[in-house]
Amino acid sequence: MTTRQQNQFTGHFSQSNSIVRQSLIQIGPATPSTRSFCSDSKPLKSRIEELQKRWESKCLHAWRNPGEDSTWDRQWEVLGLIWGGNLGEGQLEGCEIAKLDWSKRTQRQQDDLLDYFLHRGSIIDSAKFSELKLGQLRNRLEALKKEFPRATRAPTMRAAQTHRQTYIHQRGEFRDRGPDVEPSTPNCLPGWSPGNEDARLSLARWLISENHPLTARVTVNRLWQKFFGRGLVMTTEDFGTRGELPSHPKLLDWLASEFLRSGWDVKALHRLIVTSATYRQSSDSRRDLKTRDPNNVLLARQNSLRVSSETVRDLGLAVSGLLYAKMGGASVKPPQPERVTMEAFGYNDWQPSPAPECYRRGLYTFIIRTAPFAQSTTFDSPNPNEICTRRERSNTPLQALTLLNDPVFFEMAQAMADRVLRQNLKSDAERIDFAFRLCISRTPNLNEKQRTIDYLSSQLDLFATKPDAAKELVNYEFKQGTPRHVAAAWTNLCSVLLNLHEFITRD
Amino acid sequence: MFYQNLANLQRRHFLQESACGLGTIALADLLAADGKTANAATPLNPLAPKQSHHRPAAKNVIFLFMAGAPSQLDLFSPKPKLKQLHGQPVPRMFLEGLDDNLIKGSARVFASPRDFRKYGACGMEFSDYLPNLATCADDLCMIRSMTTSVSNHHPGQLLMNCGVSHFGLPSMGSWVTYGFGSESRNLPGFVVLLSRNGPGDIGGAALWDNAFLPSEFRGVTFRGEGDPILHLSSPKGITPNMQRDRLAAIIDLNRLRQKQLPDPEINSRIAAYELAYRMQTAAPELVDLAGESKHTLDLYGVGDEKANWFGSNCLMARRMVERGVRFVQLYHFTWDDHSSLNKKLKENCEMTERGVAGLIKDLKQRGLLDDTLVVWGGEFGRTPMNEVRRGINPGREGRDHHPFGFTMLMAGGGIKRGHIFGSTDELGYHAVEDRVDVHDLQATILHCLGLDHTQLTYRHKGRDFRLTDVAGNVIEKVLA
Repeated sequence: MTTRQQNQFTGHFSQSNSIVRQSLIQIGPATPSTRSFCSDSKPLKSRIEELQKRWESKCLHAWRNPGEDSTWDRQWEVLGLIWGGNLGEGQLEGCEIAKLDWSKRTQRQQDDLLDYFLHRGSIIDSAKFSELKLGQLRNRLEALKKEFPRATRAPTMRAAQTHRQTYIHQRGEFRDRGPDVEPSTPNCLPGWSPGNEDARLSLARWLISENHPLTARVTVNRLWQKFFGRGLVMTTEDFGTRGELPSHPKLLDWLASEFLRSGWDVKALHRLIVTSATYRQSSDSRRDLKTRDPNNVLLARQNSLRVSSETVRDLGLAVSGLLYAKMGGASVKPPQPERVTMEAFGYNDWQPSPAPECYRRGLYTFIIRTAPFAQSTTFDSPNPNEICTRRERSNTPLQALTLLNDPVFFEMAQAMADRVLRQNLKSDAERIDFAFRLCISRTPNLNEKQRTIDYLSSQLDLFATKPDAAKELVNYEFKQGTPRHVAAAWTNLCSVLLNLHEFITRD
Repeated sequence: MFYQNLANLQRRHFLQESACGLGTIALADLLAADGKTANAATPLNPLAPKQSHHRPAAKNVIFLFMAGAPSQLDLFSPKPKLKQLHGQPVPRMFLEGLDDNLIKGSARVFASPRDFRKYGACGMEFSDYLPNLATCADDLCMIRSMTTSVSNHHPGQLLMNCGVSHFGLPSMGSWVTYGFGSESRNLPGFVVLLSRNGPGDIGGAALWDNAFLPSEFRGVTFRGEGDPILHLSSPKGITPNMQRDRLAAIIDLNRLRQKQLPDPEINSRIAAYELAYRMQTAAPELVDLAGESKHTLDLYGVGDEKANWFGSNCLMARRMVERGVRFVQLYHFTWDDHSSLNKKLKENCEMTERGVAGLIKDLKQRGLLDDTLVVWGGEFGRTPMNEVRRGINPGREGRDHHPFGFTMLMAGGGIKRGHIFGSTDELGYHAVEDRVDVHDLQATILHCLGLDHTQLTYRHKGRDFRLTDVAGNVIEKVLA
């Protein structure tokens, strides 16, 4: 690719530029309250300017003469490092502004640098700083910033206006420049040339052109994998020479052509797959199949699959009735022990989101790349730093500990117990049927039912004789009038159901 | 009446049926005290011990990771030449061809303010900041010629742990448990213990990540207070009896399901729940130091104001290898002394060196040092120059990151004792004799465990990955 992408900051949404000006205006010489800020006749603004210019010139001197004065070297370095810390953008931008002549700066640039100077510029003359009471000014600035929405900037991309020459780098060594290269695609694929069109746009058109043999195949294969646990081409990430051959090549081609024909309609493809006889098979295994096709490549039955980490959480939230189904918006932080994120590079605190935000789907959980959400990691969420087309499915004691003991899952058990007890049902046997249907979409068989009844009655007995134990256990607000020992016994029973293999498995 | 009888009958029937469920739990309780597995791998337990490539010299590893990078020049490597050139610019010959933007030419040579002495029959040199560790000289192998290819913390730590300087590859502990399994039945095979002495430079969970290896091989972080393992304790209000009954109900229902749908995954699930339950008993027992003698606690500095954290973790490491945990990694992460090195280095040594010395002595007296490989070191070393980043206030000098020559220590299974290996030039700038690259160190650690670093591979994204990437040579000269 020779198209060069540039970061361009579009729009200045920040309120902060007006804040400083506003504060300056408010405390300017006209208002009596600010007279105290200025002991001589010069307006405050010009005195700050004077000071800032002195500071800037020292910074620039350090930039031009590194090693001469380490204090100012550091000042310059820090200006580059921490600039934009609140924005997450624009490192080194402060240095670039400082290098500009005052007349060439935009108002926004000038305001930003002034903001920065008020925070970190006292090194130039701390006596003057206190004389002008700039510390107080800075505090007001901070207070005002809190009142206004935080500045946001939207990075966008655009194609570079000039063509950038690209070279082969011999053996990957960036200083060893080989021959020029031009944008192209592998020979085994249909030809492509950007011509006069923007290269990215042209590449996009090429990717979805009707004679491109891979895009539709790769896409339907990944969707197939979601439904069967394994793609028709097992190596979903690799259709090349190192990938595996498809188990059902004609099916793959047919699905790909249907997908194209429907105009890349993903929902239609979902429908096509889930209404198929293959998808609707039971996952029960016939004895003879175990030897003839042990890995079930030919799909004589459906596969049992442990659901993904996000779905484990979603299932618990859904059956307990806690799920907050809001779509879109910012990520949330469901509760987890703070130590998880304390292990990350740079120490991150984890302030759990308040209800109901904390009950949103697992999809919306905030990811700290160096310390991902513990429940996600435990249930095999992939490393968030690289692409992943295929997830592993492990079966570990840490998963058991999470479902058994994580307060989040125990709260789900209580909420589910409350939900079951609120139903207009006549007997515990009916309630057990309902709870089973909620969790695993079927009623228990005779043995299962008996075992469950036994467990429930043992728990009812236990908590009836030990009211303190029930009090200790239940911290969820059950429907008014629910006897505590009943709430506690059903909590334990629901927790058992939330821990069943079948609960977190798609059979 | 009939119904009641039937129920009883069925209950009895299924108690027999579920002997592996309920029965195992009871049995496991009895066995938990010892906790080492006697028999070999079962398909249900991916962490079961596995056959190594060749006869292993060591069975366990305790890697004491000194994150932030301690200064080799103030601890292990006396350089008289530094005194001679103190305060002067680094002679040009040392800087030729250097390509490292963290090494700034404006820095001046900085002699160590520490005093060095030779210890043990081998005459290994230590500075006065390591009085306890120095007494272990004859059990240590000191590698003075370590080099690495990156000079910032996170990439350096990743390289040392995962073989590459970016994240996304499995860590050493994951590779080892993947290749060699673990002997512990009740504890994870790869455990990470973190010091808690304030913010420092540690790369986070990426350093004990399993990446594309199955997640059984991920490092499990333990802590000495509260829950040693995440969600190890039962929810509030669940008593041990209730937990046992809850487990029994879960396992029984899973087993009944297994009768309807014979899926091996259900067996694995049951095994995982049984192990989880054993961990609930074994882990608190592991972290409870009440049974340790006063003498042992003192040896590690447990109870000492400064040495307590790291010392307790060292003691925990010994208790873990005793219980068959394969790979224990300790992190102490406040070694990044860019300023006031002389003062801060002392503090870090006071926090850690007693624990390290205690660990080596204790392992030795219990006969565990022959089976256990102890590794000590950080992601790189520190410059022979002072650092100008924060001003050159006399007495507040620091040293910058230095990848070209630093020191690491090894001790125990498979490694020469009382041995000094390699050297740096007279300034301590570059490793010159017997240079050891990070991949060489990794290859050697795997070798001691009976694993061939070129054979321990995992196919991912179309190629075989290994800890040492495409590099690494076993350092034959340090092998016993």
